[in-house]
Amino acid sequence: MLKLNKGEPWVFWPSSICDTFPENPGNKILRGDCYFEFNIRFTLKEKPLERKTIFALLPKYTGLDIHSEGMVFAYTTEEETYYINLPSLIKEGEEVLLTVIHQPNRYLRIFINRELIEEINLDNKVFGIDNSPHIIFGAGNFPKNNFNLNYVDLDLHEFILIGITGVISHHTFEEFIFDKSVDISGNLNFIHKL
Amino acid sequence: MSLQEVKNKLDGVGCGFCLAKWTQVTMHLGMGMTHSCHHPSPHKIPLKEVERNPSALHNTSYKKQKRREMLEGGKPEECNYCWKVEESSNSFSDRVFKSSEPWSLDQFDKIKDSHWREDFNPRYVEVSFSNTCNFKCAYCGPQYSSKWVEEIEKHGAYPTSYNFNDISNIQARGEMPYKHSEINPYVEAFWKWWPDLYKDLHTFRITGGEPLLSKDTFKVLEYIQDHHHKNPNLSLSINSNLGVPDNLIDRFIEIAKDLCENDKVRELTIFTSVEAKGAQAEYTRYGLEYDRFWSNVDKILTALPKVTINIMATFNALSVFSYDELIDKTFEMKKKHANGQRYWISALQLDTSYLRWPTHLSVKILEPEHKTSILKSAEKALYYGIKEFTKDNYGFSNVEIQKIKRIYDYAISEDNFDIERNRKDFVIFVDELDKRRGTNFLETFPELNEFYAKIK
Repeated sequence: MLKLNKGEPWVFWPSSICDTFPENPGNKILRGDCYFEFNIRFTLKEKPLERKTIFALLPKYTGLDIHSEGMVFAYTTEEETYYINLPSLIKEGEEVLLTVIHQPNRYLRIFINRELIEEINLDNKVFGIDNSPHIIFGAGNFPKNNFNLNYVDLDLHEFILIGITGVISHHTFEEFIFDKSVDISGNLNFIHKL
Repeated sequence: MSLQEVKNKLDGVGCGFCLAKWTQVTMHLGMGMTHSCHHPSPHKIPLKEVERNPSALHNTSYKKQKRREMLEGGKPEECNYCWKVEESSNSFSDRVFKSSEPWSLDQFDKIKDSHWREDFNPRYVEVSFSNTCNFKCAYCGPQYSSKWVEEIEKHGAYPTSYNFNDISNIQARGEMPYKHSEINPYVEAFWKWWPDLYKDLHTFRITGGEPLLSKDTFKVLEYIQDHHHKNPNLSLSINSNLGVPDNLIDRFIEIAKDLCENDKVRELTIFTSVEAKGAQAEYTRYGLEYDRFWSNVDKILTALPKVTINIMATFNALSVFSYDELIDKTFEMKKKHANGQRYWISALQLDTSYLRWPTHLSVKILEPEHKTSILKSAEKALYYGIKEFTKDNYGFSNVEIQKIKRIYDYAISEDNFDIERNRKDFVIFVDELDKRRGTNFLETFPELNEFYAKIK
């Protein structure tokens, strides 16, 4: 388990340390022209009295925020960012499995505990495309940027990224090297502390 | 200025024009050889020329002819490494890179307008005063190690297919170094030239042999202590195996402290070497005491908080099994000595290059399963990667990681490497080495026992 203390987010961005190794960094598929699916199993450790960000896919913002009244799922296409208000389905102290599935030019589906809670039609939209996408856990932005941070106390139990070829990255957060969670899929797609 | 702009500028003078022929020099004074840039082979410096003009250590009549060719639009044959790059790809050759360096580019107009006969004081200078060395590394030879000279004079060349380190070949090429006890006229010429050379230097690097065993090294350092006002921006580098007696290490640290703390040089970098761990490292770098090596690294980095040590690791077939532990140790030192004060950010850099020569020690002789260990080492370095290359952070840099990964890519790449011949030479070499030095290859490298038996 990885305990994310407030103000200490981690990031899935394996291509940020060395630009040629791993040779096929997993973060590169988190874009509008690729199939991807990721699962985040986590436990919220505090009541969301103010806005908190569970994860944020950057730089074209897609993320899940929670607040005292409910949740907001934001996603960004090649044209603009959309916000979807959702009921509160994440409770403090309860383990949750959040799944996001992207099928290029077809849909973006969001599941909580394997139950579909939102399907976004992408027939006429292209999910955001960037050459170096990455996911921040426990914040909406990089601390150095000093805005839209929305830090949260969170326990991360598991992260799995699946691409068209199968599992690309798998973390159970049991082995760490130098503030990096070891990718047990063997693909070197680590998650590291910011 | 972009590289393309530099290339255009150079081509405006001539398609083979390269500033390094003027601005850079490596002088092997022990052998009386010189070259500008490492691509052309070193050539002999005629003694008559240095007697008349000590700057002929760089400005030989031979080199001046090459400069003439360049100024008149020609492409000297000795620089064909660059011509091949330029003819076979759209990449910039080292001609462009070296001419773009801060120690080169600002000399463009002066060089362009000069006559080819004119002497020129180089800005980037590497000098080896002698081959005196207390090590005889497996991949080294008599030109660079007096210990190797002793061994070859006593036992002869290694009986590999090409008589590894045959001294008669070296003698025939006129590359036999002066003995420590002999007066070397090239070193004498250097000292005549030095006061004039020093004031124009951007970078000065002392190589060897083992520089800390040379009195000339300390003479240079003491000169800089006393004359730093003539060139306070010097970038100074010194190679050392860090295996010399303690009194020499301590003397060096004392001088280096003065140079760094009193801003007598812009920066000081120490280059050293190791490419395995423990007994395996000691086998390859004969003379090395592994623990003492690290104790000296620690001592230097503690005493000199602005100094960076660069480990030039010549990754070879005997590095494979413990390189990951060398990475651990390097990381430990990077962490311990990270202080935000260093010019190069990192206290310790691991600069990994693959061994090309002698080919019988190349990683290419190994089995595929051995080569996967190299990939594991690269993976370890990646996990030790620095998250942001700033003074607040430490870890392995992008380049350090890439260079380890490149060893694996090289090891598995297919080319015309003669595996059979080199494997046979490898066995002949280690058998002979054990016989001469009283070492035990099979005990030191249990991982290679099966491999050895197979190819023996």
